[in-house]
Amino acid sequence: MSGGFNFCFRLRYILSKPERHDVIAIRLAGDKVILLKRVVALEGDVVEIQNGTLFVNEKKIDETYVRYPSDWNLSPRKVDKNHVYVIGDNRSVPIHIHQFGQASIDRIIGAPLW
Amino acid sequence: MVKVKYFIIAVGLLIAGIITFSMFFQSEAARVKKQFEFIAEKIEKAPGENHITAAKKVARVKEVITEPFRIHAPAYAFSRDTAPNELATFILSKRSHYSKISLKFYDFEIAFPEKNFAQVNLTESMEGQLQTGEFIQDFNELKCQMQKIGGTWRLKEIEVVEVLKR
Repeated sequence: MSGGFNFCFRLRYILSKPERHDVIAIRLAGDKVILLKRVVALEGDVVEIQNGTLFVNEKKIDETYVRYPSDWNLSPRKVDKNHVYVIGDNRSVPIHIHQFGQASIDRIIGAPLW
Repeated sequence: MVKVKYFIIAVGLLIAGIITFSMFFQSEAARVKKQFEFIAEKIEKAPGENHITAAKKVARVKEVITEPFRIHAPAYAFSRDTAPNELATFILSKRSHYSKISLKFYDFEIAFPEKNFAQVNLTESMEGQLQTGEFIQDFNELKCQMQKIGGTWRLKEIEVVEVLKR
């Protein structure tokens, strides 16, 4: 969420599930305010961040979409069933401020069009 | 002819009853919503606000909360009852880190499970600038319990819903 206005393609995940590196729209109480986050891991995956570098299932992930390097650290954790692990692309903020984590598939309302 | 007349009167009364009920229900929901607008207004901060204005504004938050007031945030394993004065001091302290705060509430879903009690589900959107210049955005889904005391809807409990579980 950038505080801006985005169009959401709601049919995007009607017949398919989100894949790694997709940017998805996650609803909160309704759909007036949505979180736009990038899927970095799927259910059953183990996510870890070491000094800003993302590892999924112990494999280093090359995240070309991340604008600014971070010094984040996150201990390994497994993604629950029917969930995806999401992180925003802007990681210039301290880790405790950034909203990220695993989101239930039920909360995904689509993908941003632009 | 007489039967038709009574039927029309009965339908008219039914419609009037429905309208009255819906007006009452809507106005209660509007009253609940208004309390959130009140809270947002008192927490928001304009650049250059002085300490006295800040203290006066925040003190008014106490008018719309119950004693005790409960904050529950399962994601942080945090749950606590707080007194109105304590809450006001906490808000004032948090606000002091910011030079500017904008607070909005969206997507209200209001239910009245019993008389004088309301359950409100909504999205809170906070944007602010720290005194250090850093911009902060925070979006949360909140589940709130409200109680009507002395004709005023007051916040009794707020639960911060864990949308993204780390």
